[in-house]
Amino acid sequence: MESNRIKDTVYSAAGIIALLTAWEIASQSIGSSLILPGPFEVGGSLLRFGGEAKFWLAVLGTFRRVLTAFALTMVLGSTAGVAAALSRGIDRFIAPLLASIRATPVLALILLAMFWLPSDSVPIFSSFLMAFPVVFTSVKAGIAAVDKELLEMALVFKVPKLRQLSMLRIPSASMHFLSAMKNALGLCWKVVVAGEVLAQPLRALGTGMQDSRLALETSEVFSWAIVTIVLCGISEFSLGLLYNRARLVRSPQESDQ
Amino acid sequence: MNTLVIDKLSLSYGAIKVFEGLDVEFPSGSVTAILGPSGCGKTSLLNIVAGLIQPDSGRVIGNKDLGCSYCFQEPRLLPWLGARDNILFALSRFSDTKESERRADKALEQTRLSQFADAAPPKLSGGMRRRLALARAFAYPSELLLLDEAFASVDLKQRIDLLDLFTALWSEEPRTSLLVSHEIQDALYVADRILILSARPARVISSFEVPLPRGKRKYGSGDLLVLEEKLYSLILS
Repeated sequence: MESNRIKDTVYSAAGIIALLTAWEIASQSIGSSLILPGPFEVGGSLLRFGGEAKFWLAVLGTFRRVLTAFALTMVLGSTAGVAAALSRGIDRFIAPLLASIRATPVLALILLAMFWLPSDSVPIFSSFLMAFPVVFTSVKAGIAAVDKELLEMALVFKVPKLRQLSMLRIPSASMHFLSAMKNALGLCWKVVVAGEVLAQPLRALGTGMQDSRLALETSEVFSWAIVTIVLCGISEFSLGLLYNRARLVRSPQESDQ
Repeated sequence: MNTLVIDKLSLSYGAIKVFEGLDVEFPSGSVTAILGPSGCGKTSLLNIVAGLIQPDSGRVIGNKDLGCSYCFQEPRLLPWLGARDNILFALSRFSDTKESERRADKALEQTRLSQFADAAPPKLSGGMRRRLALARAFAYPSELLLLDEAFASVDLKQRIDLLDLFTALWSEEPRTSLLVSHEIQDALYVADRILILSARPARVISSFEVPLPRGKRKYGSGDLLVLEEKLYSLILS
């Protein structure tokens, strides 16, 4: 077990080193830091960013937007998903809205939101709309996939509907719910930053990225992008830990008793 | 307690006729074992009595007055709840929480599961899960108890232990009980009456009272050899 973990770490580290080497080689061959700065140059600008208050404010601003969009998506997406799983009427009622959102390109959504909302809210709104169908579909599937035999048991013992929902249907959908959380969080990060690039709110990673692009500071654009990737990765990793923990609670290994 | 009456019951699954005007009565406060070939509709009969299946025609009289508890073929426990909470989940409809907790604790104690009250079902052995399902069925206040192969899938020692537990729990709180089984020995050990169903469409081909009092029977002892032979010959024929 432990040796497998060490092996995995070694392979992952080797993958990162290979990627950085390829990047450096490509940068050297192109020979223009405007087109493709090397990893050392990008690392330098990253270090410079670390000492600037503006950078940390941008990180906090984006984090706040991601969390707001994520919380909104989870609350409304889950509620709608549960309602649609329990009522065919509600499911049919939501279907056209869902189909429209799914078919709308993310950029079109952001551009439209820019007409309607202040720049600070555009990334939140767009991100919410993009992640909502993911959460809705997953939670709905989870609630609907409840073990029919357990439902029969609850029916025989005349367990009240609300109790069935809270103790049977929702816990039974918990893995779907956690999986929806993971997917929605990744999506929220991507769409929030894309929304920031276009809407240019104050204190935002996307705004910093766009400003650097306009100033032709390619290494800074890379730095903003790397920060986004790392933050998204950290939050997805944290949720992954929660997911694994929940899976262990749901199916602990059988004891020898 | 009221008698449970199955009146002209008919049920089909597509072209397959499971019951065609089945009539049978279950005297109140008795344990009736139902034996019959696989697929003859034993579980369907219990499910109709429990209200899980609607028959095509005919009716069940008395099941609503009696209230119904069910020990399923599989323990059907919520894997994310502890043993005690599993019992309390089944008792959710009762507003007297203290009484529900008292019944749950008592059932756990009677089935020797008190020290596993917080253990989730995946942490329990197969036999313990069966005991927990039995505890839940008896903790649920009802006058009708359905048992569908509730003592199957465990070794002989555990099977006898489960049957003894059933007898002890039943003696303390007798209920009209319908016990579906493939095991003649189980039926002879705990039932007051044994019904033999035919192949589909099922009808009652024979009904026997078990002559020896339940307390005096020993599992597989041969005390009821004549009846046992009759049952074997009926089922095999």
